[in-house]
Amino acid sequence: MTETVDVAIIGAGPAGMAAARDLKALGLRVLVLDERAGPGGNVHASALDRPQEAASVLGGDYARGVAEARGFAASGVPARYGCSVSRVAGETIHYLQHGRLHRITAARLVLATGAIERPVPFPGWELPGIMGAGAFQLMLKQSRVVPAGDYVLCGTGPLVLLMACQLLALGSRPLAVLDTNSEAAPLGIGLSHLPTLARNAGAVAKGLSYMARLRLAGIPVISGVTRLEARGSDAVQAIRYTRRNGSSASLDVRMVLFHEGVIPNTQLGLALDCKHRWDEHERCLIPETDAYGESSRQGTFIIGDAAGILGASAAPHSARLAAMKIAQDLGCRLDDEAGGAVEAARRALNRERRFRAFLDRAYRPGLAFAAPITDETMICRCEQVTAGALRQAVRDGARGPAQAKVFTRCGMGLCQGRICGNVVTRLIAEETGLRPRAVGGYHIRFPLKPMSLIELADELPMEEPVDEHIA
Amino acid sequence: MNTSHKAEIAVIGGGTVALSVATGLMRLGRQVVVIDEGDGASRASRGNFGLVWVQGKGDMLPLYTPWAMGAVEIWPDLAEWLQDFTGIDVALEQPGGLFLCRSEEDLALRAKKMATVAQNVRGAYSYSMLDNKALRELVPQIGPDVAGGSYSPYDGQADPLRLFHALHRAFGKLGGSYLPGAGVKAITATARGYRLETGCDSIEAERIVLAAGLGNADLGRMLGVDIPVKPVRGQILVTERVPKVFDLVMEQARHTPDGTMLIGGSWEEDSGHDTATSQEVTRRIASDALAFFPFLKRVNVLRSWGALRIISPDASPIYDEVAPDAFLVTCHSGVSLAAVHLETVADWVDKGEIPAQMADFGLRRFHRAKAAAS
Repeated sequence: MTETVDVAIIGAGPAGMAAARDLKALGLRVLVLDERAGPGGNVHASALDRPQEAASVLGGDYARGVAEARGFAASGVPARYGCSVSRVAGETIHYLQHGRLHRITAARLVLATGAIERPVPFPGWELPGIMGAGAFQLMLKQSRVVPAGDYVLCGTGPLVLLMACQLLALGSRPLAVLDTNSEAAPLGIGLSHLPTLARNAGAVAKGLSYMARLRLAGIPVISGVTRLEARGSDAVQAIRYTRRNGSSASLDVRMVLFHEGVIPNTQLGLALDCKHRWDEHERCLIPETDAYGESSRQGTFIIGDAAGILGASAAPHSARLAAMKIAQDLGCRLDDEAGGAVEAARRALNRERRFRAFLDRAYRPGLAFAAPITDETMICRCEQVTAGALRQAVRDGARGPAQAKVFTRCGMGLCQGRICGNVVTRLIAEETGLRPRAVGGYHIRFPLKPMSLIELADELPMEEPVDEHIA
Repeated sequence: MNTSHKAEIAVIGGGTVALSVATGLMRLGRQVVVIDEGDGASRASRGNFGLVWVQGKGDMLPLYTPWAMGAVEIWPDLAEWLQDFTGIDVALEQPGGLFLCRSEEDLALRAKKMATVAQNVRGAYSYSMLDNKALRELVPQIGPDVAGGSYSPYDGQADPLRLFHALHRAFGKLGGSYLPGAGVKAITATARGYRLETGCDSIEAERIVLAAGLGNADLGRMLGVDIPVKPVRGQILVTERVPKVFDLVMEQARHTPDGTMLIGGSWEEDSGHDTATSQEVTRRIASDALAFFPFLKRVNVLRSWGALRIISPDASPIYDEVAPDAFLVTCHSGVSLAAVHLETVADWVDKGEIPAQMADFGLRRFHRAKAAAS
């Protein structure tokens, strides 16, 4: 018989953990599924791997996140780790754990699948040695790994500066920080958002302190970078950058860590045919949700960064709104305080939105939004499809990602277009003159992550049942 | 915003069948417009398995067998022309093909079907039924528990996506006009042919070709003609890249020129127009694949998809002038038949006279079948 819960939550990051705790407190049977070995998501990854004290080397936010994740693990909220959702059909969720397919049914589904780094194709970005700064930060959290050899950090946004400081704290020095922010005067933006900044003084102070620490350490921050080009045969050997004033230079490096912010991880929602819209400001697909986070697929809620980037501090508020609505839908008796809690969550979320609006204006992805994509730039790294090949597909008649995919194999690889999807939508829109909204996105197929034939056939010999709770 | 277009011939549909006929007509010097739906069109050409296949075809309509044999015979010319003209290698291989049967029951059914086909064409048809031992002599990787299969020397494969792309490129390069968007919403007969409305475009054409797959049923209704095509869903798995190990092509597994392996399939008559995949069917396909090819067990499945076959009551193509200057071209096997669609079928639409070998593919055969049944 299939195991049944009231609510299944996909993702044990800040949003998923908060939703699960709220729903359990409201008396519902919940189950959290996460691909990682423990709670915390990307932002608080590897929270359980080390003693709490060891987290502080990566900064106060990480240490607080680690404490939160440890608290969640100890709270007894049912959660299973190492679980990869392979298919959702109606109320049934099929997932793979330890090489074996399992399924549960849930009356409500909460997608708390978080964010992915914004993919930014520039010439040579597919070379080994170039990776997302966020991806590298995960390794840093897991294993305290630092780059070997000379390296640069490139991009824009708080994470780039934070990482530079984290690396410094671990005794590693980047050659330089190449700042690709296309907003030449972030301080001017700050002035027009003064009330918001005042209310988020802590976050602002953090940003300023990162800059001060880099300056103190003598790390050059090269601003106004408008183009990047990586060179190398088997791996990156040099990064060439061009600045707003037209000057350019090259640095010999073994590694380039790149980051221009994050975008929602929409893969599961797209696979479930939840309606998405093209966000002109962030230039990516974002799920359409109501005030409580419910998507166009009835009973499926999308919360946290998966619903639109607001950051870890906003996640518990969107989680609370969804939890309250789900509890009401499932017939829980809510007390008088519930209405107040909804209002408080809404107010808090609005405060986060205003701060995010400031961040989004103060840190504009200079490469992703403003740099033209040259024909030789790789768009689909999985299938090695260049922008030129994609443009040729449009000339051959493709008007959308589905036809462009069959013409070029773009998006047919291991990642199923998770990386190239938004760039493809943008390129096709540019080439056809259609609006990105009309171009649309990829149709995502099951299984969501690769699985072996024997796993799919479900013909592995039986194993011992796995533990429900990971302490 | 309504734009008017004029063309000698309007081909309705944007898949492999439509583009084959349209490209053939362009090669004959006709001025052609292809009217397609948008990117979200339900499109068999995008889900195709890529067999260039003869065995088994024609068990319910004997003339389909020689038609299919003729089609694969001239396929190499098409592949060569596409390579020269578009630069796209459609990766045609015709080494012969196998149909695998996991159980003895399946094998008995297959033997009966192949015997029926062979009897229909009276001897000019080569095939053999194989038991497990004979099968494994041909393909040693096949599992020990597979009952057997059928072999035919006519069969092969091509990459259906490259074919689809090459046809689009060839059509454009020949100067054809491609109108993707909403598809055809209304058809009106005029003094000089037909007017087609898409909602944003209005197209006047002397002749029209209905080549819209399952959409032909709707197009037929606009002309007052019953076109009996039904969707039959097939689900397919695709694996990560694996080294090529088979010399033969198999109906259940095909190694693509890109290195991935396609594994099929299913025959689902009650799926309606839903192209979704299901846990139950993909699990069964994976289970069959393990029996057929045990060495694949640790190979990763990257995706699955569902696509809708376009099936007539006798699972054979329909070619008919369903109204004056309105030509219906519909079939399940758009890849296998691509070369004859580009040649013989385009010629028929161009001249308006049906060649003898196509004459009995019309809708009349279903009326006769109905009359005989009642």
